[in-house]
Parts: sequence; C-alpha cells; structure tokens
Amino acid sequence: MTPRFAGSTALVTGAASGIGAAAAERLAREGARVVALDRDGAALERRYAGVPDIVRVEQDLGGPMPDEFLDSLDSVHRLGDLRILVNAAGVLHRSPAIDHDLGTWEHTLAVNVTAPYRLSQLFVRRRLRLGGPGVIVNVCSIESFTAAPDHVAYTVSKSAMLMLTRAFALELAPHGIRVNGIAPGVTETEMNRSLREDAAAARRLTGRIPMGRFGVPGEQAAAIAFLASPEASYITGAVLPVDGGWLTA
Amino acid sequence: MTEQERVAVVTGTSRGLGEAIARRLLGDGYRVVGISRGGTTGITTPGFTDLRADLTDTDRCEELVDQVLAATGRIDVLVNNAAAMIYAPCWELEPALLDVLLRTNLTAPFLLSRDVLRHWVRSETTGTIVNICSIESEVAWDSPPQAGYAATKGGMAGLTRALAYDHGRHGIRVNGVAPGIIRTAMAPPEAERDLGTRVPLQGRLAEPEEIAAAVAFLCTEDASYITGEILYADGGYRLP
Repeated sequence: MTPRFAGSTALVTGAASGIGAAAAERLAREGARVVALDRDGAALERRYAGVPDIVRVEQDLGGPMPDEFLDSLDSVHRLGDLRILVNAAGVLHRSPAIDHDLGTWEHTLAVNVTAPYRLSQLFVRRRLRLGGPGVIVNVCSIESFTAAPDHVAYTVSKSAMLMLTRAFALELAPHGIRVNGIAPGVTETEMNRSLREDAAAARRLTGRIPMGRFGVPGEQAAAIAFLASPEASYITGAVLPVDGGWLTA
Repeated sequence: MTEQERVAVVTGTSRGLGEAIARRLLGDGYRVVGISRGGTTGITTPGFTDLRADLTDTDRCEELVDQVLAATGRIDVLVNNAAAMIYAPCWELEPALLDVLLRTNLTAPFLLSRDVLRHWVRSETTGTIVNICSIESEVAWDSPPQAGYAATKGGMAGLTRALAYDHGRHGIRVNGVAPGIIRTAMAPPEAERDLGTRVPLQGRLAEPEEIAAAVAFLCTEDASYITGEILYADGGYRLP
C-alpha cells in the first residue's frame, strides 16, 4: 500500500519537541517530506540529524514574517508539492491575569495567533498559485473552549486560533482547501512537565480526565495525520478535541 | 485475538450510511453484524451477518446484544447509526410519530450501548462506541421542518458525552460523528439539487464513504485519546 502522504511536503512548526515533533515524525513515517521548523535549532539538530525526509529550519515565529518567507524556504529546501501545513508552535506563560505584562501578552499572541495566521495566508497563496489540494491543521487546545487559571494570554490565543481555523476553512472551502484543528487536552510535553511532576497537581489533573491519564504526543499526531489525510475529505472547519474526555464535563 | 476476529455491530445497514459503514469496517478487517428491520441484502461479503430487528421494539432491543454475543463471543465496536426521520411541522408531529423518532433514534442506541458497556465492564474487556449524530445535534434545519429529529440528535450528543464521561476509566471510548447532508435516500429528493449550494466545501453533499471514513478513524487506535467528542464531517456547513 502506498503511504498516504507519499509525494506531499508538509511544513510543521514547533517541530523540535512535543506535539509538533510527533506530528513531523508521523507524517514522515507515512511518506511525507517534512520541513521541520522551530526556534530552537539545536533541538531540531538533536532530534532529526541524519533523519531522511525531514529538513530542519531554525526560525523564531515571534517576529514579523515577510511575504517572501515560503519562497525563501523553497529556494533552500525545495518545498515541492507543499500540501500540508501543521501549525503546532505555541507558547504558554503562566501567571495570574493581573500580573501578565504586555510583553508576555503580545509575544503569546504573536506566536500562537499571528504566526499561524501569516503562515496559513502564505501557504494558501502558494497553493492557489500552484493549484491542487491543500490542508491545514492547527493545534488548538481544550483552552480554545474552556478557561484555565493563570493562562489568560494562552487561553485567549487558543480561542483565537479556533476562529482562525473556522474563518480560513469557510473562505477556502470553495477551493477544496480544508482547514481543521485538534484541541489537545493535557499531553505529556515540556510545556507542562513541571505540573505533571508535581504529584498532587498530577493527581488533581488526571482526576479531572475521564480516561484517567494524560495524552501522549503520538496520540495528538495521529489525529493531525487523520485530518491531513484524504480520509477526512468532508471535514473542514472542525476542531477535534483529543483530550481523554476532558471537555465532556 | 487477531484483527480479523474483531466484531463490529452496526445498526441500520440496509442502505445509505449504515451500509457504507458496514462495508468500510469489513474492509478494515472486522466481522460485522448488521442490524436492520428489513434485512441487509446488499452486502454479501464474507464476515457479514445480517440480523433483523425492529429497533422501535424495546423488548427486542434488550435481546440483541446477548444474541450477538452468543453468536460471536465478542463485540469490539458498536455503531449506532439507524435513525428515523419524519418531516413535519411540530403541530403535525403526533405523539405516536414522535415516539417512533425517540425509540429509534435515542432509546435503541441507549439500550444497545447500555448492554454492550455492561458486557465490557463485566468481562473486563474494552471497546468503542460511535453514535451517528447530525448537524442538527447543534443547529436547526429550516426546510422541511423536523423538530422531532433535531430533538433526538441533540439527545444523541448528550448521550455520547455522558457515556464517555462515565466509562473513560474503563478504557472505553464513546464518540459521535455528525454528518452534514449525505447523498442517501434520507436526504429529500430536491436535496442534491439545492442543498449543495449551502455547503461551503466545494458546494457538494457528502458521499456516504466519507462519513464512514470518520467513523472508522474513531474506531482505530489512532483515536486512543479521543472520547466524548462529536466529530463534525459536514463540509463546513455550520461555519457561516
């Protein structure tokens, strides 16, 4: 059987660790050529040095992105048939809302909202220019739907990403370009390591999850791969919770 | 146990989406027991069992899981797909008609789920349930009016979340798939002509196979952390 992403190129942000890395590896395992983008070049190097089909791009998504961004990537890395964009990069700053400073707020929105918006825009322009199908998967969060204490910038950014997903999905549907998201629950990544390693906090969190355990990045990647695949051909504008049932109650 | 031995029970397999789901799961290596009132004559694939039952008959519903288990020894997947649809303004929806909708679309899924869940918990095995919901689990539909159907599909979403919440600890997953308008007999005849224009995704209705693919995904290990979720496969119908 031909791997389901054979012949496609996928751009994955936040690809050096966590859900982004799992997604990059999953898509590569299923035949995609993957452009793995992360602000941490050393971490990309450690994870992917010598891995065929995964090229590494060190890029901070906190700043402005020029219109030529994908073309400049193309000239170095040969994007080829870039059909899949996975916006997985995200930052989380923890502090009470009244202590969030403006820099934290702006950086969170820049990385979690503006960067996926700009990348989606550039990706779609390229897709429409070259023709052919395209698919975007945004890594949202259960916090796209619910609040969490000390996460104000993050939860606002993830809610924005939910509507970013829907707005792009609506506009691009006539072109057959699908835009969906996943909404991970608590997943074992660096982002929440300290919380998970605090036994009382971990017990409290797992007690809140109907499945009684945290998710692992591979489970998020599996949902991303499904939404990116032709199996999801009638699904657009959906944000699929992958949360062990967190949002049921 | 090999994958070939896994058993999926699918209701409403005589046509349309149920038939497509049964075919898809057969293709994925399941043995499939298809439950329908008039029988499923369209599927002759080895591994398919045609089981006839009227799901409006609650006494009959209460026998079904035991009957399947007696024949197969196991159930791994239950897909509650069978549904009745009645187009009528609410003032013409006589209690007897509403009762048909409630029994078929809610009571039967509840009873089958209850008995399958009881089997899994008592035998310390697990499995997964997929309930076919609808865009009407979330939004109303104007023409023709179908308040009774909408009520049952809203209920199906609640049932899905509640069963998922209650049984997550057992490793049992319960999810829903909410299709948009499918090219099947259930869509009214004028549907294909007019309704496509209401669908953002390329202005087209869903093929049953596209919805069956979403159901199949939720049954796989790739969905191992997904429970209590209603996956909308609606071509972006609810977006605008």
